[in-house]
Amino acid sequence: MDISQSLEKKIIDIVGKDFVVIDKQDMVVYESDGTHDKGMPDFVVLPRTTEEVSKLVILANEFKISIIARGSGTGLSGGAVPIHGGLVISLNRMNTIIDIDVDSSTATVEAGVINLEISKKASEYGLFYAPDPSSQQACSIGGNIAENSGGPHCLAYGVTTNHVLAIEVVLPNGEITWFGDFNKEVPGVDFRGLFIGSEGTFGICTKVVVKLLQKPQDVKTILIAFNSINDAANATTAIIGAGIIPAAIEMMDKTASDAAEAATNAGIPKNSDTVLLIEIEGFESDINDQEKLISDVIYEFNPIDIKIAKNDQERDLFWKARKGVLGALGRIAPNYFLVDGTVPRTKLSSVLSEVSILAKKYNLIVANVLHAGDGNLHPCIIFDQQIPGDTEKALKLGGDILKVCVENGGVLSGEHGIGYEKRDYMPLLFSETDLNNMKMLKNIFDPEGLFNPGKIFPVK
Amino acid sequence: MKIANDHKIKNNHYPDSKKEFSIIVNELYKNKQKMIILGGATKTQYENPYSSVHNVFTSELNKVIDYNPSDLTVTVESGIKVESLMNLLSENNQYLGYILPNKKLSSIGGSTAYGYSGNYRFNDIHIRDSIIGIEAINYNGDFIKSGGQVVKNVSGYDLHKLYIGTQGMFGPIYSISFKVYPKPNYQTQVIVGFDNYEDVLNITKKYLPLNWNIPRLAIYSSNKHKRKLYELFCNISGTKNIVDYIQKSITEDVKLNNGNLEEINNNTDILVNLDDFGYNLNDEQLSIRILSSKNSDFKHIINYFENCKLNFQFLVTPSIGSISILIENNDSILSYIDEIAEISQLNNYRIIIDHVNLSLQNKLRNKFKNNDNQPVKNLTALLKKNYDPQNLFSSGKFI
Repeated sequence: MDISQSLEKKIIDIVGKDFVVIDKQDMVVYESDGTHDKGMPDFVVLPRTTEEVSKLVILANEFKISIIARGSGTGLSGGAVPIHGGLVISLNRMNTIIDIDVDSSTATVEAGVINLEISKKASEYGLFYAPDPSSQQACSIGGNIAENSGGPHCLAYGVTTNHVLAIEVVLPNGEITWFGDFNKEVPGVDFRGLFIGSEGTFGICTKVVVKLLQKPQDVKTILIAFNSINDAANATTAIIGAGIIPAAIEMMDKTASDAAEAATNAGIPKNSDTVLLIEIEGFESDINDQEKLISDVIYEFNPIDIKIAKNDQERDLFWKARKGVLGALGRIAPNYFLVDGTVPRTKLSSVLSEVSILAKKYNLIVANVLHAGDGNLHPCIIFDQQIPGDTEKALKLGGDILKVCVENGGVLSGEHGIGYEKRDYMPLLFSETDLNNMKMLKNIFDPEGLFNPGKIFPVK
Repeated sequence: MKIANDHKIKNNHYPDSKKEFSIIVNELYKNKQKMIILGGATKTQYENPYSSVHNVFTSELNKVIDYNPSDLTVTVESGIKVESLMNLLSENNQYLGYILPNKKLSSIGGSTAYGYSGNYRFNDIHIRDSIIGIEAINYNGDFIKSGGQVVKNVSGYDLHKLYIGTQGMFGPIYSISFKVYPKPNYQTQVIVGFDNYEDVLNITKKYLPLNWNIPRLAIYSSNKHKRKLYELFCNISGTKNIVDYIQKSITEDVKLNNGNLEEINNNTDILVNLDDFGYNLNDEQLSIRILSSKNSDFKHIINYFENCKLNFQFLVTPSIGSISILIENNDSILSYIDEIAEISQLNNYRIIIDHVNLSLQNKLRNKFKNNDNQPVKNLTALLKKNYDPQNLFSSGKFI
């Protein structure tokens, strides 16, 4: 029996043969995430319990095989791609909502639970889980922990780390422990905060305690059309600058909104260049006050149309257009490369102008989709990988856009993580000392370097 | 390097530039000198008099590095006083979203190192949520950057989390970037008295989830007005319509729960009646904080103290899960330590005793051991070993 067979037998002993993917054809679904990056795993295993995860980690240490934890595979940075092969531990079967504690407004869930399922269950008690990535119908909370995911409503509510109180993790040596506490006052090292966003390089999160919020009494969703992307960007800066923080301010330029409209018939005005989707929440009287303030602020940026969702169906349709825009862009070309830089809000307008210039330079179409209120840009570079050279051009354009973000005081990633895709851009943002300190942290958690190798740190 | 002997304590250093700060840290480290970084030096009365170590004061590092109000972010040097930053933000109708305690004396760096957030918090924000970047100094005197000046950032590890709440054990903080918030445009404070703790709990439970519009719900023992046994301070903020709506709702609920409406302060500043309960103690006072790992009402603790012969006051902040207890004769606590430790153990409470003189602190620490799990202890020790191999930064913390 060779090493591979011996390892396979031991994996089967831990989880049972029904939960080990052996056939290479079946493994294809585990070779990529939401990006174009690919890597074939050596083994894929679907444990059901934390104890099984721990045993698998101990086994991987014994065989010195790398470990790649995987949620739903919706990531957008190549974070879950086994670029060097290894053991993919898929957490999909760990999908139980263990407890909703209404008194404490918390939910305890397994890592494979789908993000939206938490809010669905919590809504029975008038509560919801705030971070809402666009993929929330499919992405897992464990994946959200790994990437410190955001979403449209993070403008008002904050990102994943702001809503997670505690996590159960399997450390790289197989130990099971909890990081964090109901009480954020607890002094000492915030291992919970360090682990969230570490992209699967510090261990595997198996259970999560999240904060739940009370559902707002009322919600108003407003679609505002502008003649230019600069007007929309400046209107966003002005709204925030005026002291108004809506639950969400999303932006789609003409390319994006035309595609979204064609796919959904949401009612996006055809003559608009750029649209803002603004959502305000709270008590009814509060919402009316906010709406008036927003109307006053945007007036000087020449809005050409303002639509307020009349009911939940129309509201859902507006959001369907926004959250489904990436799929809708497939009408233009089969492939896209999504950039994820963040810049200070006041730089939005100038950075978007530079993106436009770069797109022309590379002769590629860029659809701009933004969490504008957060300054989080998602220029979506559309291309056809069948056209020789287009993939390389798209990747190079993406890199140039990230350089522009950093030059304008911004960062490489707002919510998708660095992963495999952006690792070589890290020196744009961090000095060698910064990176060495990050490597030191990685080494403290994972001295054998088995967890998600080839991610975050540059190789060039 | 500036060395001043104008204090009682020798070996005081006052860097007044980023470069000088790094040189001092590097020189001390190379020479194997233990050092403590001091912001407002508000802890010196409770802890080591620091005569045997080097004290690096950040008081001269008090500049605002970057502030564009429209970005809702600010970056400051760590020595800036809390009050100075609050005033700057206030000029632009902004604030941190929480009110740090001891604002006149404390520095932003010190508040960060101790992980303080006070008991007034918009949307339950903790300082750990509001810091978006830190520039720290390592033992070589090199600067380490983590995070940035944007509100949403997942580029690399959140190394800055290492420096929040760890009391300087991994090295000095040079600068800190914060996400800031617009100040609410209208505020009211309602103070209600109760004779029965259950009644005050009924009100707090109902309004606790509204932390977006009620940033502070604080229950005091009646040291302030002495009309009722317990007083609930409720700060409501938002638009005038919403503040009026919530205020009306609370006043109606007060009647139903046997409360007595004592004060309504309309359109106040957020700072009205905010005190520094548990800070700035005199030699006779002792303050302990008890934290709950669940959403506790601390009835056990309050019952126990009310039956003791201790002269005490308390402040319960249900949203934070904490009770601060201020005891007038600090030696008197010694007779009760064992029982308090037992109650805390039974209820899975954690006890923080940082506002106590050093000799008493040592006695109490042995009694109030909080049960961190072993992997956490091991990782903490490894972090310390790597980020401070000679154990010269604020040694003796958490290990």
